[in-house]
Amino acid sequence: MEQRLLENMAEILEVEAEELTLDTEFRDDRFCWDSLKGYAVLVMLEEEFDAQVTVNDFLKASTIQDLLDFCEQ
Amino acid sequence: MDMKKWIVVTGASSGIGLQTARQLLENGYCVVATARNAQLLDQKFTTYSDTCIILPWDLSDPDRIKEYASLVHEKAGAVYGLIHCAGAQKTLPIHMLKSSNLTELFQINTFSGLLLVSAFAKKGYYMEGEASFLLISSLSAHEGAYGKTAYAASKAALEGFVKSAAPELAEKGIRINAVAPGVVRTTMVEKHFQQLTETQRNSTIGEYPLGLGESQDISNLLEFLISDKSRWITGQTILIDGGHTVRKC
Repeated sequence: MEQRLLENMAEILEVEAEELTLDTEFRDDRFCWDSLKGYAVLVMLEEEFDAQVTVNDFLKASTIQDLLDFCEQ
Repeated sequence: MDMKKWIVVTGASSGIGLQTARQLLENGYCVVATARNAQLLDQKFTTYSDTCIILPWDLSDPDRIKEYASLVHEKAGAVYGLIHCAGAQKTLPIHMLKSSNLTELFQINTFSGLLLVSAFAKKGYYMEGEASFLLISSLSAHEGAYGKTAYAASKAALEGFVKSAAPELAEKGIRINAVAPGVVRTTMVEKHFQQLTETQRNSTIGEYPLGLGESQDISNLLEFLISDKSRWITGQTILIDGGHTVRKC
């Protein structure tokens, strides 16, 4: 699950999966973070991991580990 | 209304399709109600036993559209109208587009619409001199709909089709038009809104001088366009957007 999440996040953030770890802060400026990427993450979590995450909970997440926690709930 | 006027409504189990089908039934038309979910269709339309044919069908399979049209023809005869409300929406960054996304969207939004028109334009399948076909497009095809490239393309294709189809269908006495709504409060839109922040939601709502649309705003227009009150309108895409495209900038 961890590897799959990193690969999905790599696609959204437009980097190679090897550049990401669970400690990666996905809203970092180097990823040109915007609301569309945020939306894509929410949809990805639901479609790929069956994780229904509210927007408010998602706004509190800052690392990929936080996203993995959603998937494992 | 003297003789039965059967109108095929796709996407009839929810949103604009459901509202339109019900409104047509209440106003004396007969409806062939189609959607994928048979159970939902039954729930929504069982009270209309004489004037409604419930016909569940998955229109995303283009190879079975002709079969669907044959079944409609068998049950209802020549149709007075077709209103294609079935559709799907997808918001996705452009760099993530895959052919599977395009296939999925184009099959239900575009190919099914074109093939339905083709199938019901066959002699004997439509009421000569009276029939009206309507396709649901979207405001996304008319503005910079951020993150909605594939969806906007699938709807814009319908509008190109409508222009070229109009003269050919006019020779058969069929009118064809598209309706391009802005944001309308439907289940599909509410689901999308749940994945936006409050700021994003309020920003969207603020871009509509007359507020967001309701399904009945669209069904009122569709009823007009399906009827002979709009007999001189064909080949058009009519924007209905609560003033969005003319909002203060």
